[in-house]
Amino acid sequence: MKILIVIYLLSIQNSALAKIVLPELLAKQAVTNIRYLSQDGKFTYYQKRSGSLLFSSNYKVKEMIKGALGTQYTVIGTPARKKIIVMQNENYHSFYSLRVKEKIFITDFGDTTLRPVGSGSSAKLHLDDTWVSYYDYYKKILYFESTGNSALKFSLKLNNRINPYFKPQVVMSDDNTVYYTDLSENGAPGLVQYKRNTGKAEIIFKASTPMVKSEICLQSDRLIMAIFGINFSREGTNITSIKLPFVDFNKRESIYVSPVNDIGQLVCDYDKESITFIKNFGTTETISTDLVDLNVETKEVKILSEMKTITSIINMDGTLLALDKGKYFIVKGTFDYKNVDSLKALPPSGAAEAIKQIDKNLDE
Amino acid sequence: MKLKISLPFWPNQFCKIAILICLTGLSGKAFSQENSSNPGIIESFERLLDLHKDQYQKNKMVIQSNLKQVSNLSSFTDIKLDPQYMKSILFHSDERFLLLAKKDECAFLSVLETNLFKTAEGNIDNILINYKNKDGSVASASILKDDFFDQIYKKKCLNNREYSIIFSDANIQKTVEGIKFSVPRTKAECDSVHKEWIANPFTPYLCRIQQVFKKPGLKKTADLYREKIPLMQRIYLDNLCNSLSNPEMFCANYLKSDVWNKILNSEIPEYKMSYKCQQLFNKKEKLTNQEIKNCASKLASDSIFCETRGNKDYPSNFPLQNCNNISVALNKSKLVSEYHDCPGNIDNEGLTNIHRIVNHFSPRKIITNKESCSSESSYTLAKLNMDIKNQSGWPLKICYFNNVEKKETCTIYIPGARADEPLSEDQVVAKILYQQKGANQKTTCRIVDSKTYNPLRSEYKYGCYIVYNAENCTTIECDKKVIWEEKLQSDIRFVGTPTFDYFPTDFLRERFSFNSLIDDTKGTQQRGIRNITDLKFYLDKVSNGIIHGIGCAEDLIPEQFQRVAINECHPLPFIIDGHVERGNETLMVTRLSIDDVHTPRLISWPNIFNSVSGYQEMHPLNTWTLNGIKK
Repeated sequence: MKILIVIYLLSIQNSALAKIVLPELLAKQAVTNIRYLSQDGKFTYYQKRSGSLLFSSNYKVKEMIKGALGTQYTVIGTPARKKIIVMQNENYHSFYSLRVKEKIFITDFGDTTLRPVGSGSSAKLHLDDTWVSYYDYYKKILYFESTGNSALKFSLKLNNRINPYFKPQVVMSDDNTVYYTDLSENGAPGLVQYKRNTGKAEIIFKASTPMVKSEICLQSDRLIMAIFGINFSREGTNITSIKLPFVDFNKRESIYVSPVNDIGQLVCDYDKESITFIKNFGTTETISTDLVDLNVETKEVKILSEMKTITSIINMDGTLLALDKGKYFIVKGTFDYKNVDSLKALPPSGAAEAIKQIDKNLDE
Repeated sequence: MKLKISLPFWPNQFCKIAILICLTGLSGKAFSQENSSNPGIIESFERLLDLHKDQYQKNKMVIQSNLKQVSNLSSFTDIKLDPQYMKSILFHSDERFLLLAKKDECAFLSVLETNLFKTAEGNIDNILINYKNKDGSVASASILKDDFFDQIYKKKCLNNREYSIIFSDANIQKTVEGIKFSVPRTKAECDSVHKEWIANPFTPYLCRIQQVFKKPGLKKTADLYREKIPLMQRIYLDNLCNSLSNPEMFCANYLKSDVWNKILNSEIPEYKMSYKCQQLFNKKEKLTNQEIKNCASKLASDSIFCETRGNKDYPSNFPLQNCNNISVALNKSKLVSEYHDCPGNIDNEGLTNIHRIVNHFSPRKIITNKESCSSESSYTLAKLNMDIKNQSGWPLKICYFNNVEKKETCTIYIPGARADEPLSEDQVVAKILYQQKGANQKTTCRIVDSKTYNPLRSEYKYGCYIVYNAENCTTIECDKKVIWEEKLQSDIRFVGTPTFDYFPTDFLRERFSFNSLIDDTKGTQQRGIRNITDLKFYLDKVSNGIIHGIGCAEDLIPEQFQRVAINECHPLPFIIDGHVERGNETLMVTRLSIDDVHTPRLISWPNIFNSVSGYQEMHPLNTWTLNGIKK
């Protein structure tokens, strides 16, 4: 991925109906190949249909790993910008499984040397990328491994016996403390606090009904927990916040309440004052989804989009992306399309030659 | 001796006030000893109640203080209920039960006996009566309720005594079993059934059962009834006794336009409800017609009941949908699904979708049980491959050392045990043991998990066992061993993974994708569905047509699955077999391949469109993976 062009779509229809028009993420090569873009445009991870994951920087393209034809890669980074997770699924188009055990690798941020970590799903980096966690749906075990020392590892067994597709949310607030979600015997979600030094897991919250989902995240020095009603239930939404470390989780503060079931997908690591999530501006029966910022101090809600059908929100190295109808839109970020690596250090032959060279690499 | 009870009963509270006014006005002589004024019609009902309570207490005190309690009525004549006492019953009893008592004297006594009446004091322990002495003078007395009925039933309403016996704790189970709880199908039938219950002398005794569950103080009796009376009958009684005075309310539960009622009326196939009901009520065997009817009543009246129940033995995504939404969806659903599958036990969601689509167009007899449900889905795909003689394309094989050819040989198998399929895993292994190891021709193999298999127990000493590691067994990867006569058959190994193309991923292998296989073997035809107008047209106009597709789970149910990286997409096959208009929005009746087959969910078109668009971007051929399919 070399030349990125962000086009501001100001169609007649959009300008007539919506005040907020988000620019679409467009690129020289197909956006669908991109797996990770650094905010400064210095490097890109992308994949090819042949089964390879490639790294491009300064007109150089390097194959990092090769899998079978049709292999799918997922590349995950964090604001810490120290490590990158790479997940590889070699049977992506021939074995449709939400619980599939993907191969999980780790590399330094902006590097190409992969170190295998394990196999599972939902890999995530914690504590300034010093830990990586992943989940095994079949064994119902959450695995943790230090990114600096692979010998340092531990695991947690979940209680959930009722939903084979339940995936826990997990955060590490310090080296000793893990918070993760689990399901009780009746399927109601709960929040568990695990202390590594004692090896004890304590349930600090249990929802009153199975008809909700629970999301957690860390926002600065706060633990955010949100409860969202699901499946047309009447539970609504409740987002709470508590400063870390805490003694009594029941003393958390409610920072947002809605009678409507919002979608959620909390993004808490974009800025220090607010969290972003997908709010339902319709009713519980007739859903209309857009992004909002929730200021955790003032509890003010600010609308970020007016598209009505947004289904995903992603923080990709400081660029907040929303997905709507198969296209990515830039919601926030200081992303400068002019400041991409391809234009930063042009070869003597000029930009045209550079593009030709990149295309050649991509077409291989 | 004659007990006179000849009071008319009116069906609402206003009429009760009116009768009270009439009673106090016309029966002034009866209460002449009291110095009370009659309440005017403009006085509030609360005032009337207070006044009445005061009168009742005074009257009771007079009767109980002036006369000694009696326990024998044989020497008295012209016995009547005390008018003030009667007035109190009228005032404080529920109109539902007054209606029951209206029929005749014996019905009145039944209702009084079964504690359905109340006075100003609440429950009735003593009966206040007026009677004539031998000298002809009129006197009043208080008598214990049990003594009263013991003696009254010797003189009149002899059947009531029998009813009391058959509804005693000792006999109640047998009695209830013998009663027909008719579930009406039409309005006329329902009115008739309701009238029959009002006239039925058993009704007061049945409503006593229902009332026991409403009173926290009667927990012990309630537990006994729970044990002896099935849930279905308890649900029926609850509806009946709550709506004795309101036939519309009684019928509403049976005549709703919900799918459950349509199923009872045979407008919609019973399997859309019966498998769910089996799970809801924890029944292994097929439900009786009566049980199905009562289940329908429960599903129609208790919407949240379905949210957490209905898939216990057949794991799938959780929680489920509420009964109302399931009803709305099933009302428009076309998918033929006379089985219960278990997506949670199948790793490849494509297999579940294929199983559902194939059995929609070519239903086969599927024996539903939790042990075989996952292998049934594999079997469906295996049969498709076998039907086009694509045995070489079938990926699952058992390899063993062939003693004749002196080399390893591999033969295909279909996972699971099936008596009717020579290629089933158990039969293939048994055949290898017979041909290569000298086992008896009648040898059969049992598939067990490693936790169950215990060679120390006698049942596992002899015979053939295919033991799989319960901790590490998925469809794509399963650690299996063959043990015959206590010996590990290390040369027999299971190879291959059930990977296949659902939609073609390259042109060379196109004919082996499921999309092509089903058209070739089942004679189906498909075409792409690009927009909501086309989707609605297809579902409405093509009689057996349904729509199947693959989309990103993160767009289909974003409340459950979340993207954390750009271009992350977990492909999830699904079926759309109907659409519902809700407000200005069209919702698709959708069965995600991780959802319970009998619990369709309603998904909006933008979610479907987003999901298919998302997966199209990932697809090697950039295929739009949403097709209408018909036969």
